[in-house]
Amino acid sequence: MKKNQLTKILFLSILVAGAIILNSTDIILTLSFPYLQIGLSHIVSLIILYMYGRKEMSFVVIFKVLLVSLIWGRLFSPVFFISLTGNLLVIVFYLIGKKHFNIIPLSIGGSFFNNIGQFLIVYCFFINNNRILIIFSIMMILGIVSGAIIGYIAKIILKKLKKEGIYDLSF
Amino acid sequence: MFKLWTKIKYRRWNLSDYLLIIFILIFSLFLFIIGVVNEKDYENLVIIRKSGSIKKYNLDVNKEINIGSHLVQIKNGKVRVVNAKCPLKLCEKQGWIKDGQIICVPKKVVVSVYSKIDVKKIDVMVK
Repeated sequence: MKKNQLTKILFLSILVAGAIILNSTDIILTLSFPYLQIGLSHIVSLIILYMYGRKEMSFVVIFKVLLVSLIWGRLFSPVFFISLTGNLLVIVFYLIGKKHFNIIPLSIGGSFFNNIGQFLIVYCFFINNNRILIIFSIMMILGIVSGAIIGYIAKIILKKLKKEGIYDLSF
Repeated sequence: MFKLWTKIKYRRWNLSDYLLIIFILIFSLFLFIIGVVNEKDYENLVIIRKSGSIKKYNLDVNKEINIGSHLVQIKNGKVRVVNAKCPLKLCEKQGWIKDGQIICVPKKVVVSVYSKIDVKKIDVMVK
């Protein structure tokens, strides 16, 4: 195995671990503030999208969803399918939209599509009621704010990483 | 690998970026308006759900509805279960309700009552 490849795999695994911890923080926050999931783990997916590329980003996001649901005992439960569809739509949007959008609108659109995916699954399979439209529209409007915050944080981190040269991992 | 790093470039904000945000705002406001308009449908309404089937009735029309295991009565804007064929008969003991739900767990029946919105705003009336 080449050294570069090894460095890449190590760095990716560190980032996956970071994503899992950020997502768990999100889940703990939702226990006290329901409906408030900021999507902290998408900082990591944005960083990987800009650092490495599309393939690595999609792998990391899917692994993150699987591992977090395994840790929290939610594998193949309704919550798992809701989060999986949300994250899959986010991946599709990031893959298509990286060319066309800046990093902050990209993150805002990601949060919007996450909500759309969750809404479709909830509406089709769990709560077939028009009244959930109100709560989801409020979540989408708040998602613009949280998406902007997440995009800004990812931008700052990317700039700092580039500036300080933390990537120069020598083993 | 390290050359990848120099590729990171931030595009400036273009028209497409603004259009995306405006589209998201308009779309979510549109959904909100649809939801608020739909909310008015849930007024003066009795919904009886029994193992998948959903039936809707008007709250103003006095009526007795037989749904096999239960006999539901609608009278003067109030709803009650007259006769239930379940062991504890908790739904029968709940009596008349103006707003809220009567739930029978063993027979999987939910009777939801949505009264007029101005009735909901008043918690208690003291005379």
